[in-house]
Order: sequence, then structure tokens, then C-alpha cells
Amino acid sequence: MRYYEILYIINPNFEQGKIDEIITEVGGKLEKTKSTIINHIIWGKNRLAYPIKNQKYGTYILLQFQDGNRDKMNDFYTWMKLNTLVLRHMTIRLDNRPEVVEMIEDPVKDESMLEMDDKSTESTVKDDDIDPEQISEAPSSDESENEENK
Amino acid sequence: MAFQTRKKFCYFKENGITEIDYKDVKLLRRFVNDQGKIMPRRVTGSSAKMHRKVVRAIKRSRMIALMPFVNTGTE
Repeated sequence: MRYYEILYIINPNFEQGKIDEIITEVGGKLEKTKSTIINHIIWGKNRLAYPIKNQKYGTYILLQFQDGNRDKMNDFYTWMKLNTLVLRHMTIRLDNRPEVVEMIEDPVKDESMLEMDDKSTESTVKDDDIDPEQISEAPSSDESENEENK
Repeated sequence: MAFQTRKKFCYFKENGITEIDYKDVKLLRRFVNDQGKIMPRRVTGSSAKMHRKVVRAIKRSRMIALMPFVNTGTE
């Protein structure tokens, strides 16, 4: 049994109803390959690092699943590629079974989209591993060293 | 007057990180310069094992437009 993750981008101008429609469509298509979906959630609206099909922003949707019939997966990927609603998609293989996520705690809001993309990604990315104290300590200690040298 | 050299260290070893997710853009941004280029290991000081993982994660997030291939600074 293998676990995979697909992250795909759809047009940011779609309303919630349209997004749900696309999610059910993609999910239904994937279930035809006898795969079991673990997570299928909206990851957030984000500024794209470069324009794709003249879109500067995109809604990211995260889909994690356990594989079923691998022979039928090629049909699914072809369908995803030809689907005009999906701007771009990428599949990667996961090492372990992903945890079930109900909702992203802090989805990106429209207001933050207008600011630098740094800020918008910060709110979506959850990094429990990084100790924020250590990050803040590092530059401050450097400054104090420099002052001493002077 | 002698130059004081800053000791390099592996960021991941210091923070106990073993796996890198390509969606973690905040972390990956530390390992590219302002042009969006991946910084060499001799600059970042990360271990060879973790540097390979960083490179893979950055390339993945570039493909899905989370990080730029090139950052020219012009919009």
C-alpha cells in the first residue's frame, strides 16, 4: 500500500460553491481508480510565485489518498491535465500514512493576499518543529557581537 | 586585528528536523538567495544529507508555484 499526495491549483475567483463542485468532481474521478481518499481539503488562497495561465493568485487544494488500481491512475492524471479548471497539479509519494486533517486552522484571508507572499504563506504553513525563539535569537546575537567588535 | 569567523552549523541538526515538506515555504526561503537560487552547502552549512532533502523540496515547491524559479524583483 502506498500513499500519495496531490496538490492542485484552481482559479481563485471561483466561489465556495464552485470550489466544492470541483472537489467532488476530482474526488469522484479518483474514487473510480478504487483509491481511498484520506484528506481532501482547501489549503488556502495564495499568491503564485509566477503567473500560470495569466493568473496571479490561486486556490490550493490538498488531496491525500491511498492507492487502489495503479493501472487506472494514468487515466486520472490525463484527465487532470486536460481539465481546464485545474491550473496545475503535482503528485508526490508519501513515506508514511498522512494524518487525517479536518480543517486547516488558519486559512489565508483575502486581505493578506494583497501583502507580500511571505506573510500569506506564514499563516498557512504549520511548522511545529522549528523553535521560534532560536530563530529570533540568532540574528540578535550576531548584532551584539558586531557592536562589541566596534 | 583578527577576523572573527562565525561558526557554521547545520540548521536542521540544531532544531531536530529530519523531514522537510515542500509546502513549508517559510523554512525553505532560508535556503535560497534573493534571486531565488538555491544556496550552496558551504554557505548554509547544512549537512549533505539534509541539503539533498532541501534541494528536492525547493524544486518541488517551484513546480507548484509556491517558490519562484527566478526572482527578478519586477512584477
